[in-house]
Amino acid sequence: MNKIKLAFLGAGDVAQRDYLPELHRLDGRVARVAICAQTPDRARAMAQQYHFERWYANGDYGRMLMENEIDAVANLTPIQLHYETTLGLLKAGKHIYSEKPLAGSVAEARQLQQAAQAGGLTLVSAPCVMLWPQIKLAQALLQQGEIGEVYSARAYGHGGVPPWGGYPSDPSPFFARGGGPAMDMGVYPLHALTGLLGSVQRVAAMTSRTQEGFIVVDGPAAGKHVPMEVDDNWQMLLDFGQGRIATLAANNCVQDTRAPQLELHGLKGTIALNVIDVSAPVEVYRAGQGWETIPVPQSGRAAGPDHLLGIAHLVDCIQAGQAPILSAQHAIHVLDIIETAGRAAGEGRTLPVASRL
Amino acid sequence: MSTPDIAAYDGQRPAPVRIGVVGCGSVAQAYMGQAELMQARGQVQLVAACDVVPERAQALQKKFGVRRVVDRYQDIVDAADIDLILVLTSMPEHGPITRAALKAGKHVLVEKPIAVNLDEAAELVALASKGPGYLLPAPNVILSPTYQTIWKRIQRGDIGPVFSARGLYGWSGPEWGKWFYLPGGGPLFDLGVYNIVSLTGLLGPVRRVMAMTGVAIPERQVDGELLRVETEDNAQVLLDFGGACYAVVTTGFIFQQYRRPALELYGARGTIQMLGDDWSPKGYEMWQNETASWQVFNETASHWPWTDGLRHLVESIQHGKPPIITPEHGFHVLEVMLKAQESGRTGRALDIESRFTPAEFVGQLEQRAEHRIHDRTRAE
Repeated sequence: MNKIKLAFLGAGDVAQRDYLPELHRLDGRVARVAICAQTPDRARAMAQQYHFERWYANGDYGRMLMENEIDAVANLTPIQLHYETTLGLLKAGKHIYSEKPLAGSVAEARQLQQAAQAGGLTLVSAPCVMLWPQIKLAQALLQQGEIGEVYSARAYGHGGVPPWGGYPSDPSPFFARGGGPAMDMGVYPLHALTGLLGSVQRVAAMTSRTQEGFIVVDGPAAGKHVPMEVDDNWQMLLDFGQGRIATLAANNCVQDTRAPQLELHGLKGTIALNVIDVSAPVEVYRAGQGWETIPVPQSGRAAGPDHLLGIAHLVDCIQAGQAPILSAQHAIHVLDIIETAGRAAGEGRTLPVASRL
Repeated sequence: MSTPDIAAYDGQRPAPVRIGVVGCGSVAQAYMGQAELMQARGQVQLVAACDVVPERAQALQKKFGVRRVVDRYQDIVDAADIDLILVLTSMPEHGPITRAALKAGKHVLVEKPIAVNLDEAAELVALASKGPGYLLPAPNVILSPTYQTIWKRIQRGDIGPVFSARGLYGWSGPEWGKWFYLPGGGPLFDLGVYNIVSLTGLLGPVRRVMAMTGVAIPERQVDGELLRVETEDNAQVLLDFGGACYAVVTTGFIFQQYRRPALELYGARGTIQMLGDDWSPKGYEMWQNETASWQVFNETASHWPWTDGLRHLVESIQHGKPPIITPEHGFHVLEVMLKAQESGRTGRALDIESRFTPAEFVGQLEQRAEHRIHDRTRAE
């Protein structure tokens, strides 16, 4: 099978930490055509280190598309640029893997979904938690009825308290309008919860701001004052219907925790797991049988999040002509939950979520 | 008000406090364990017991040497030789019995919740404020040494201001006591109440509440019969403390076992997690940015009984000092729970009107961590 000609748009923190060092796992399946980064220095350095044929900078991905034959693009730009860049890439006929969130709003995400459909293109949206071994194990346990019907769940997505010491890029997009902890970290447990339990039908929330801003302590933006433009403390309540309810904390005000990240409480048992770390075992309690710690199959990455599986999934879907599991519809539903939660917090009431998986 | 028995006063120790027990079920058994020890020390006398099922009262009499069994709780309320009444009945009876006892000038320890509606609770708070009887509303969780240590650490700023917190307490639900599943019952009042008392004690009064609730199991076998469940058996409650601080309390009669901290308190500079349950802590863990590690503190009072409110009330009576568990705290917690229930039904956030001043604790808290755990997910 022909290799997929792949380009990277964005070479910042997540690219350097989670994608580029793992890309060798797709060597037989993708050709590294080009990489486009914010600055020429970074673009050149990343192209050299990771063996891309060409590099581009300063958002000049239009030229990258014109000068190269490209099948698919991994969009790893800051949150606020996802919509505009993905739309441009889809219009140029490229298959897309988009970092989360797919877009800044449900309306924008729907436009991307339609653009992909119209062009016959595959659009894969992060996060790829539904492909991670610990979530797949939980899914299998639920399907086998090992813990009975789940009526209560708890989860969190902690983004860490800024200033993030040691962060290699400018952290300000995470705290600018369109960013925030629900978009950045809440999406992981939200994808897992909805992937495992189904669509959220109603949402309630409270959101607040625990700090007004901060000074970046190191990295290229050291000394920069970053205003907190978004609420950094979200608590959501999620209603999956039939009395099945969950709570989700997404925030930038937790230093550390030893609580399980995702707990599913069924009538016959309990599952607890780490949503982010593909190496963490799954804890299962079955009534009458006690606790079992189940190791998970290796995903390909030793530990932490295995984002590369999202790009691998894009390659699979293009080559097999299959609809992605990491669908735009799933991303739209999660965006819808976050958007509705924001409104619900403002109005002080529970609101229905219109979209469905 | 009945006064302690002067004849029993030996000139050194205060006279024993004479106790009447209303409600002789499983909770009474636990309180009697505490009372038995105090009786052996001459601090209390177990004078009378009563229950809607007379055999239960007789069993209590036999087991713990209670002097007499009476038919009606009013007999205990009216008894001149009783100073303190333990109200350990089903939830809907708490309010009426407590009111009668306070009106008769008795001291009262009432199991949670203090009452099942706010009008009833407000009357109890007003009666208690006039005295002479003290009113101690359970649960007694703020008396646990681990709670008090955590309170001191938060006050001292060991983890900075708290912005986020969680609590979880639930189980599969009792197979006895239909009232658990009927209006006036439910897991919020039976189980969630522990987390809410602890969180309000640590973080102060709740300003606003929002909840989702539901009935997961519409029919249950209770007392050998199939019962239609008429109150929510599943709840997620969001608490707004003001100052950007929120907590969420998860409870229900729908849980199997779980592995979780009882309470998670997230501050700007660190985290404290209470282990075990609020009513039976198993130590706590603390993350501080300065040490960049988790310090694990083993439980120092593993025998602390959740019935400790009885000891505290007896000593309060003997020293003439009001208990630190206040009727105002009990009222506040009841308002939070009732409005959570209403919010779950209407889908609207509701303001909490009542306020109270949390109990304060002084004294040393230095304790060495048993061991330290580094977070392998953190880059050093």
